[in-house]
Amino acid sequence: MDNINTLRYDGPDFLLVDSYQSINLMSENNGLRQGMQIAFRLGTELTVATLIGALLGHGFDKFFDTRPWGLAVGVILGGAAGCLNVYRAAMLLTIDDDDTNRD
Amino acid sequence: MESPLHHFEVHTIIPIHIGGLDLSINNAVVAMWVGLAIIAGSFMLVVNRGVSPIPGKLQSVLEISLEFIRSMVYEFIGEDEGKKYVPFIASLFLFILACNLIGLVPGSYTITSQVVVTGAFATGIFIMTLVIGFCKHGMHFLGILVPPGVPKIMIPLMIPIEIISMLARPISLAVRLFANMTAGHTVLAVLFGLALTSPAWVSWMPFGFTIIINGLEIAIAFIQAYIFTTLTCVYIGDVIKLH
Amino acid sequence: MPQFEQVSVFGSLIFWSLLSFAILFFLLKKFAFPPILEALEEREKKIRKDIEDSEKLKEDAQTIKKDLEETLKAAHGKAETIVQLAQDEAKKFQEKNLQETEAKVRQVQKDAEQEIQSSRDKLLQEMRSYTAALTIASTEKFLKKALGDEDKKRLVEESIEQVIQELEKRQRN
Repeated sequence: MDNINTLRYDGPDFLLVDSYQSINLMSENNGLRQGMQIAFRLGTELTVATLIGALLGHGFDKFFDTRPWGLAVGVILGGAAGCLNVYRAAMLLTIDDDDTNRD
Repeated sequence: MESPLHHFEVHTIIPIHIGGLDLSINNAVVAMWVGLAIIAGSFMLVVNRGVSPIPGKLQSVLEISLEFIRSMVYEFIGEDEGKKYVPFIASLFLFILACNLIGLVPGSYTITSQVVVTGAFATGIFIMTLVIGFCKHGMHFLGILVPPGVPKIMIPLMIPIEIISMLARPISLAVRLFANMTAGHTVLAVLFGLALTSPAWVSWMPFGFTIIINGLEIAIAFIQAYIFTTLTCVYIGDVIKLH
Repeated sequence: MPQFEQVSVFGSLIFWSLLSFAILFFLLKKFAFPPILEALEEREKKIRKDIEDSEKLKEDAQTIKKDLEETLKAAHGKAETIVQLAQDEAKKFQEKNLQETEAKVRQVQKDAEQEIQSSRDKLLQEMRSYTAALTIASTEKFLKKALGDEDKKRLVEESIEQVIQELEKRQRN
């Protein structure tokens, strides 16, 4: 029965948590777990985007026989896309922080 | 001592083969059904009893969860557009939550620790966002590939980056849920294995840890269901608002 | 990792999970969510309305309070005026009384003075006549033969005058 409520207090991803929850999160002393979750989230974004870029580059190489240029460009573009995703996630994060402070 | 990954193996219970496709019912599917039956049953119980203005215990729990999801949908999609997505998002949240939680019962199976399942859901959501985007904006939807305020010279560079970034979304969605569930259960399995195999005078230690981690896993089950649905909301909101 | 190796079960896992989700979604959307969401919305509406009502009531109460305060202030002012008036009246009355009394006292004083004056004058007159007679008589006895009528009279007059002067001098002192 209490499980639904624990959600309010334990959600560490305050990246996307709405503001009144963020207050609860702030008051709860689980900074490490929050930090781990954010790091994990941002890490996944970067890794996955880079992998996708590499995969697309590899596919491009196979189709057009441009080895190894497709892969190289793909990894670079994927890294850029990963940075973009991390940047977006981080922007959401700071916006939410502001929300919390305003409240 | 058996491998800590052993319990991720799926055992067929009722073999069903249709046209060369293996659609056998296995332990993972059964565990999922138990979880879903609990969710559906509690909702049916409340609705059959009649939704009263002064809620009982079960009704208020369900109401809180729905209210929570609704406010989330309204926040990321907007109140007018978001209304019709509330049932979908709520079902998604409850589905993932039920699967995550039922997996914590010893001997059952967490179907969300199967990357193909999370991948299927993430792909479905990805396709859904594309469909919503094209229905809503037509060909203008392709404008999502060009972020606002980008100089014209940069556009050929930005389009592949944006495509990769779009493709990365469902995969990171799927990988996050799968990895969290797998990691948690692996840790639990290792600790439990230690507790079983070590002599009695130390076995209480890993066993105690098992209980603590189990509590943590309950929290993670909620968090991951929450993150998955929130990001779904964000993605739907993105294609609706188009920047 | 079995999640990557057990390729044979992937089909059934995907199929059953998607199908189960679809059924759950359909069931909840059709039967469970509408009444609960409706109840939620209704409650929200009710709460909003209650808050609005209470706000209105609060406003009303404030207006009434203001009215009451104004009335009280007015009453206070009135009472003060009345007290002031009464005080003024009392003061006037007191002054009038005082003046009247003073006038009366002055009148009485004047009367008394007049009486005293008149009685003194009368007394003096009497005294003069007595003295005259006495002097005449005594002097007559004393100078029966020595003086004539003319001298007698002059002498008497002189002595009377002297007595009067003396008296007056004494009175003045």
